[in-house]
Amino acid sequence: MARYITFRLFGLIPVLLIISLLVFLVTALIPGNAAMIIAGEEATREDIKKAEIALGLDKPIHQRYIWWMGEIVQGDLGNSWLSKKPVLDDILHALPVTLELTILGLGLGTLIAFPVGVISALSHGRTLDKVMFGVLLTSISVPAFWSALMLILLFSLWLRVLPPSGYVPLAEDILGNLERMILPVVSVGAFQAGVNARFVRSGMLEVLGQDYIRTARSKGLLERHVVIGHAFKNMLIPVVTFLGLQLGGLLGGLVITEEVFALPGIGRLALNAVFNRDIPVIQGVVLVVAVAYVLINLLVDVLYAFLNPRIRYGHGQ
Amino acid sequence: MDTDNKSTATNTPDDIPALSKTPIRDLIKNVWKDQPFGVTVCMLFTLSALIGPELVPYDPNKINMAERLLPIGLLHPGGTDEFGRDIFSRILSGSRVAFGVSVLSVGLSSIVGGLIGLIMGFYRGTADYVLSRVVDAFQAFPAVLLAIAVAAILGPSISTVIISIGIVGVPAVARVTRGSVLQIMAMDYVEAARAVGIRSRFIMLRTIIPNIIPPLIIQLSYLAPQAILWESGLSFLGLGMRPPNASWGTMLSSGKSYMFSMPSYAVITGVVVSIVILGVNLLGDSLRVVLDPQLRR
Repeated sequence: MARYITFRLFGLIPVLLIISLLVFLVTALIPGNAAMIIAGEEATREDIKKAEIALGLDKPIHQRYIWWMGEIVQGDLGNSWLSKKPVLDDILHALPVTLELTILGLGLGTLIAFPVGVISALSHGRTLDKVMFGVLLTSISVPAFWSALMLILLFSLWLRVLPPSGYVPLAEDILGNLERMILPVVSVGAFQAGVNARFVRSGMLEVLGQDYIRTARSKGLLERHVVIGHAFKNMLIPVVTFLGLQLGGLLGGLVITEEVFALPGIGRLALNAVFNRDIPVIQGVVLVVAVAYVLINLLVDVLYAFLNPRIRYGHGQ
Repeated sequence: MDTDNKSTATNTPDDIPALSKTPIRDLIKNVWKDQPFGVTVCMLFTLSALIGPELVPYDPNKINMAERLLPIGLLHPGGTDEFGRDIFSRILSGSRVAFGVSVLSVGLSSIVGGLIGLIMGFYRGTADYVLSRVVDAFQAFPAVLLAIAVAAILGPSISTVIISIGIVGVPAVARVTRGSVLQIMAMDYVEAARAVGIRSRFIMLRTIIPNIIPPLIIQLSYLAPQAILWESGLSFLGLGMRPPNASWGTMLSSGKSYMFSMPSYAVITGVVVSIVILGVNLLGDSLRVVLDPQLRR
């Protein structure tokens, strides 16, 4: 097991290097003269030149990359060109918002997905399955930002029971925070419920067709034991991996939901940075989210290895 | 919904489809039987994309401030927007954008991803290792942020949307293709082809590529509805279609501003978008069932 984890950790190094290169190159390609933005509206040509030198923009691109990487390795993501504050502070400030939305949304989605997916698979081919499958396909067909708008329309404008947007930190006011998080979480959760239930359903169907299920049935086990003890347990392994991928994907994927509900998360931070051409902030957010994705992936794989004895005992490598 | 396919005429008693002389026609017939709603929606969507903008009752971009924000009525079946433009006409005109973006971006992902996957699976070794790491890195890149970054580089436009959605789909296609290439390479008939001395380029073209098409189509059936979702999302954020041209995302974005005074604007547009995506999802699901013999039980 330890060998497996070490092996995987070393495997991360090239991926992380490529990610850093991608982040740097993509953001370096964004047009717009950074020095002009920094120097301000009324800058003279010398001011711009000075700003360029201060930013290192007069150097060739590979030198800039190495210099940038040197700072990153020391944990310095640079300063925002607009607010002049450290990017890391901005990210750490915005991250809890996105994390809360991700965890609650994915949690709600998963909570709905398990029973729906399992029941749908168990009644495969019958009307119940068809109805449930239709509902879950509908939930992944509705754009999350549109369902968000409809929720605002219904609960904030017509029924007036929930605030339409805004954010209160969890630490300041738990009830106020939850009150404002209900609609975003429901909008994310409904979509995730469809995505996850589809996966649970097909995973369950696949497992139910395996030989060991037939064996379990033919040795006279109660259907309940076959489903819970044999089928469900084996279906869980791929589902855990899938949920991990969803968790990593959602961290950077809630931009539109955050925008619609005016939540100050990292997606909105990145979006505003793109509109303002604030390169260090874009680089920082994308890098943090991508690295988080890779690390979550690693954790999930380790968990997978732990759950799957074939890998745990070293036969799977 | 993905059931009851075993009674088609082409199946042998063992439930293994016999070689059909008219595979395409059988495929269409099976999908239609399985999913009439999805097929109908997709046909209407295609039709509206092809000839809808020519048939529209009003010029979708014509500003008429006298008829601003009219409710649903006989003259304007979907009402009018904040510039007095006919919403129904704009939805039809936006369908061409959605259709074009999804076809082109899915095409881009499948060609680029398919080629990368083919190289990874066929040559293995160093090429596989390097490309796998690149694909991993791309997959770790948050998709929306990647699309936004591409939009920032290229400026907001419809080609930006196509390229960003296309790139986002590449890693998944590459992985699936690599997997199926590896699977086919292990088949006896590939070994047989090698044994009789057929050159590897020929094996790739004649044996591998035709066999990776069905899993590729399955992958594309997941990507197509997503592409429509992405297009509306990116345009909603202001990174896609530029005004005054209609796109579903920009329409939803302006519908949002008038949600209190005229909720029907955002509601109608969103319902149409959702039904189209649902139709494409249903069709894709049905294609998957028909194409994947393992699902046909």
